[in-house]
Amino acid sequence: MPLKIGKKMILRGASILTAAVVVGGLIVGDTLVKNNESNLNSILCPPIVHQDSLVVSRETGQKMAQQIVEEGAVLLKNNGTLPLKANNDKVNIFGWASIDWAYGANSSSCSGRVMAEDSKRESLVDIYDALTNYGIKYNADLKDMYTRYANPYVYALKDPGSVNNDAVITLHEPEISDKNYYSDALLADAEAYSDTAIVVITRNAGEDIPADRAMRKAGKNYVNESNKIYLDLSIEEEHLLKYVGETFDKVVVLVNSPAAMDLSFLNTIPGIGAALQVGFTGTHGASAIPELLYGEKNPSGHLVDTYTYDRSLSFAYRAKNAANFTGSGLSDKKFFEYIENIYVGYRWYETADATYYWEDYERTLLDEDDKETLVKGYDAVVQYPFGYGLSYTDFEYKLEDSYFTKKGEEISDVDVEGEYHIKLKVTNTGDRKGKDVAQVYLEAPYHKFQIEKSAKALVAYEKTIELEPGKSEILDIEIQISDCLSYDCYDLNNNGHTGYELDKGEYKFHLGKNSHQDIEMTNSENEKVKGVLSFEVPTTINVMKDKYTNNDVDNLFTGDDAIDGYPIDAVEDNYEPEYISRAEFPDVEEFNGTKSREASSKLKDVYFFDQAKGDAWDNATTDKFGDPVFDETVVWGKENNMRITEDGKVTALGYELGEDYDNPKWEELLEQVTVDEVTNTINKSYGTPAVNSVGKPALNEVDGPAQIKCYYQQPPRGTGYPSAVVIAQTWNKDLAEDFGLSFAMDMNSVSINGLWGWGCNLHRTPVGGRNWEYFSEDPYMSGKTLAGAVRGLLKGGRYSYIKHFCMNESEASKKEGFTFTTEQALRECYFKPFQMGIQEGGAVGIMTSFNRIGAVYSGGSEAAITGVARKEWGFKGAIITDWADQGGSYMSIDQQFRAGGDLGMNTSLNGYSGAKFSYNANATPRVQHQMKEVMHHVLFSWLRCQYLNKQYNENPDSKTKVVQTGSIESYKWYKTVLVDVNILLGGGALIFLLLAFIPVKEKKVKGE
Amino acid sequence: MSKKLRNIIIFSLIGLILIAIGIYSLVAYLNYEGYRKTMEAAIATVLMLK
Repeated sequence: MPLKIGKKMILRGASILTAAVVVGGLIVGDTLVKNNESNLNSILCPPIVHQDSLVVSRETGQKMAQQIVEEGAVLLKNNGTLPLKANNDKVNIFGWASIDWAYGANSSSCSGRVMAEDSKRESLVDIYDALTNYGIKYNADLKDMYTRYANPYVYALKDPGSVNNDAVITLHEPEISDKNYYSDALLADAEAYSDTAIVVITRNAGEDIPADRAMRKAGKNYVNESNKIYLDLSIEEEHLLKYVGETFDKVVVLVNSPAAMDLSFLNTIPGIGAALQVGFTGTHGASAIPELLYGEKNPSGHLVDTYTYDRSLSFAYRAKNAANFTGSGLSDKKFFEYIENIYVGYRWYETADATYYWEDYERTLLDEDDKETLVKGYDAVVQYPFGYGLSYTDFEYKLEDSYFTKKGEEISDVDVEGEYHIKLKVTNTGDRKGKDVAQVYLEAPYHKFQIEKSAKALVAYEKTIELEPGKSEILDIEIQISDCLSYDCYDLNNNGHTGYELDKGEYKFHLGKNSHQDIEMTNSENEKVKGVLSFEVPTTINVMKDKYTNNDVDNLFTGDDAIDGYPIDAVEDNYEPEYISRAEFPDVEEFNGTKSREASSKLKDVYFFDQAKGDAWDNATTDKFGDPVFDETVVWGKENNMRITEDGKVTALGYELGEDYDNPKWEELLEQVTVDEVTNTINKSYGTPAVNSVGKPALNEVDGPAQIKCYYQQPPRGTGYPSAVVIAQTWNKDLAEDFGLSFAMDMNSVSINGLWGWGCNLHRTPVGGRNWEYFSEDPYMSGKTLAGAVRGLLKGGRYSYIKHFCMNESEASKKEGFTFTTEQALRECYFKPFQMGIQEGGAVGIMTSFNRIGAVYSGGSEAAITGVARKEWGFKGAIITDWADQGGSYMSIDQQFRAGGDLGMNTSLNGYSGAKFSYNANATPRVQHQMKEVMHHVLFSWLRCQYLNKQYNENPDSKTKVVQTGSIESYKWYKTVLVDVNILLGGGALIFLLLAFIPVKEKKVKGE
Repeated sequence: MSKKLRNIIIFSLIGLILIAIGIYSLVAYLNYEGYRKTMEAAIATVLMLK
């Protein structure tokens, strides 16, 4: 019998289907919203901004930005052209780059861009604005011509999504012989307008944009020079500089870039009288440039990178590109080998010079009178050494005293936990007021074939106050002996110890004008002598403990028992990278880059994280360092009536816990926390959620080392500061701290609690795309500047995640790149800034990197996170991943959690493909304890800066008081709307079904 | 069931849904306002004592 499908049945079927689609749609929609809650909050409901505070913090920040450029701009060359005279009130500005001033780095990625605070052009100060505001006129016809040639991009007004990375590094420069632009009349008028020409040269870069990309150009009638790289000078720029040099009496080059670009032209093109490197100036820092040009302020900045004539004469540069693994399994992966070992930056050029390496090099350059001269040796290789910088005045030096101390008491001999003091009297002998910097470089004793030692290593610096002519200041320069140690990872001096050592021999402290030249000073006998002091260490002193924590320090990355399962140096039975040694530096010109190689089975075994590795960690009874793991019952959700805030204010308990991570009350407080609160905290991006059980408010965190911005870089924004390089170039530790405090005020105003910054990776080569946002090629300079900034930020009640831990020196191949070096270089160079940021700056946050430390994802390196950061350095704060979707699934928070990390950024627990773990009350005690530790770290990070802010505000010596405004979450109206939509559509579906299924008696019609 | 009774049930349900939406939205908003006022009461202005 055929099945009869009635009209009613069809109607009911359709009803069920419709209701199912509606309910299904709701479930999918709800899930999507839940999974993208952070992003939706960012876009739809950013935190409430405090407009009054914003006005104050911007005003302070803009002054700070100007001060940073005043002190951070480096006078590279001056034959008397600068300072310009006050009556020199009209100038010609050349160079297309002048109309597209670089305020900060740019790229389509979010990190680190500088944008107009309120998205208005009026809030940006470029060179034209700065001169105009200073009362100087410029040739407007030239500016108009450049605009006619190509419109400026003004990236500071563009959203990241609209930035084209190729365009960022595209040069626009009309050819000087192109009469369509540089017409005879225009040039004749320029000559008549002023005898002064300022030429602007700009080089930009940014996240994901390595600066060694082939030179790109746009515009008209340009010569293709794709054989050059972006940091070279283009032929159009060269022609312009030659014309300007020949034509104008006073020629000043402004280098609007913090990158160590090729500046050879300053010594090869005649007629260039002066050059000032101003870096990226932030939104308002350019206002300082006229003050420097006209001598109202005296340049006192010094370079924090080495500028060379030929960047390829360094092993680091030649080994900058990652090579591919061959064979099966890892052929899609790349690896870096830092074969330069510890000889990065000036450590290479100075140490090579100490071995007479540069003897055969020569180059024809212009002398001070623009006459061609043949220079030889080091001077033919290095144009501007690290630490180089000129002034409009002169200084003389007198050694007042030098002595050892320990714990504030003078001692007679060196002690590895002590200090060495140099009292140096600095006198301004010129006729202009100015500041000077005393730089101290260590020359440690080198014994051939033993521990590698750099011929020079910065170990201290101090900047004077502004000295009037004839005035003096006695600087007390303190050198930590712990900064003079070498890390002997291979026991190369055969004393049975691997670790830090004060090797035997003569230690010299060079008081330098820069890394290459010593100052001349007057000694106690009133004799003129070289600024070199020395002391003798008769027997090598092994250092077993960290000076700050007194915790054990030993190899964790070297040899078969490397904690992460594979040695950081990649040395295996059948393979050894060619790390260079001072004993016999190879010919750099014969090294043509890292060669591909087959990945060994050992490497393949460790490079990935999986279920088995996670389960093994969860169930282990001892950790990888031999210590027993936690095996007790973990208490969740117990009410102990403890709150760290009440009515929006930090309680006495909160401050007490912020003072001491090991306070026993922590245990009771953490008992109150629930499992969900921990997992929600780990999984949330752009901050950490409220933890109601203890009274922790929701905290907001964003990127932006040069400027704090609301989410997705939307206004309102904090001040756009000069780039990190310019801050380092001030060589002013106090200014770095003031910068941090000013930054905290900005964060305060826009309701941001945590900063994903600052970066303290090294400028391993000049072409790192993010060099501008890292401080320097030198670890000590990077660490000191970072520590200052972090201290300031914490005083302002805000915290930062210093990044990218570790060895993220390249934008090319950074994602998942295996990164190999020696443990000596890792500790002395790449870990050092982080260590200083934590131990001297008090940093309470770390961000791991995209790359691998050796063979293991940086976030999964138990050796780096637990072994070094937490155990050796005593780091107590929170550790977050970098943006996890950038690098694919290898950036596992499950792995980082087990390595001792805490938070995922744009990733979540069990988000790693395939692996599933328990994060609940049924998990092993070790996992549960680690979950509690995550909350401990997160709470401490915030309470620590609250405590330090309170201390700072209560200190009568504090020059600024920052009372926190706190953060107020916006009303999450979309969540209410979502619930309403659920009720409405869910209820609608129910009614729909009722309509279809409730039988209705039809009324009988009369007469039927 | 009579059509009248069905309509009463349906419209009652619609009414209940709308009331639920209204109450939920109001409570959520008032709850937020309470939080905001508490926070604002705790807020001090950034002081510059330079």
